[in-house]
Amino acid sequence: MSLDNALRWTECLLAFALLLQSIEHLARPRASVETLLFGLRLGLCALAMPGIAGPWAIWGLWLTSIMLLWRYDGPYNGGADRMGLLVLTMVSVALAWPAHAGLAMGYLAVQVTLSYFVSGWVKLRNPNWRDGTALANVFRFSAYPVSDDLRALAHRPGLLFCAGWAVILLEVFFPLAILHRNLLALALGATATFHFVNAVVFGLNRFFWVWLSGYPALFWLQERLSLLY
Amino acid sequence: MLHLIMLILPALIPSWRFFKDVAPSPRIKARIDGSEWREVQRRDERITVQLSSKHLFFNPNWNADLFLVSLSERLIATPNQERKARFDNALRAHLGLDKATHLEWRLSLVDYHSGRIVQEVVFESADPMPAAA
Repeated sequence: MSLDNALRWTECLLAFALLLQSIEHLARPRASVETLLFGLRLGLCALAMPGIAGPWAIWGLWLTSIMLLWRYDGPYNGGADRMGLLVLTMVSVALAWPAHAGLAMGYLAVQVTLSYFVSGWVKLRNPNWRDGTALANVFRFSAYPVSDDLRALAHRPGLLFCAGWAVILLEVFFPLAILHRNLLALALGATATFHFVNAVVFGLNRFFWVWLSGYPALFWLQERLSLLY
Repeated sequence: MLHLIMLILPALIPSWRFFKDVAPSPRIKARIDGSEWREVQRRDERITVQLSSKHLFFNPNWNADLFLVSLSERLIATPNQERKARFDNALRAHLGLDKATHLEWRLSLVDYHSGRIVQEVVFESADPMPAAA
């Protein structure tokens, strides 16, 4: 994948993710300043997806993201907002300084890789994750399961032990996927499935769309690295 | 300005330590004009494929619930007047209440010890708070 293609795909996927978020905000009771900000973001996303307004739509989205971060005194939706701002910042940098676009996309690809590796590594070091207790507790009492019947999964230790280890192994070995294009496609299919399950079971739909927007940078970096060996 | 930089930096240099530990989980109860206490975060008894498919694209109420959980975690971690007011405002917006409505709330933490679920109230809306630093 060429750098230009990766950048364009990232813009489109991110704008789609932010479009969905804006629609969600506008569907709820809100202050008038939020109506203004999310209405503006909705318009900017609609411009950014087909690439109509050039870099200005992306820069506008970056600016409104900072205003929202200030308004909510932190991210509205935790890691999803942080990843969204990271992707937005790197795309903004790439569009502002095209000569350094490769550096920005490379940094994004490394951070997406680390997002899996680090979260797998901290689980691997925690005995509660290794024996399945941590995942059982997520179902047992955390705020995340979207329905009451899902809490019953806390009483399926064998299933949770296997699921926990599947996640740990996928995350920890994810960096190896950068070695081969097909391996990367397979690994990203698995991680996208992981985010999809999290969206269905824990209601983390924003993570699913935002993380997908980081994937083109990985395909680009893999192709660049493959030229070295 | 420093505060803004501190808000942006974790996005640009993230720690990515998702679910390092499963910490005690906040629950929010509220009562309006002296009525019964009610759990604010409500979930369906079971979820259908159709609803899951819809929620993949559009799940505003659930994300608003998660925002309240984030705010309550921040308030519990560093209690101050500003955070309390921010939580109160967000909860009023969530419940569709105006400033004039008498709203009381309680934050509790749910944990699992010795084979049973335990829940402890850690904050009430009437609790005095220190001013923000």
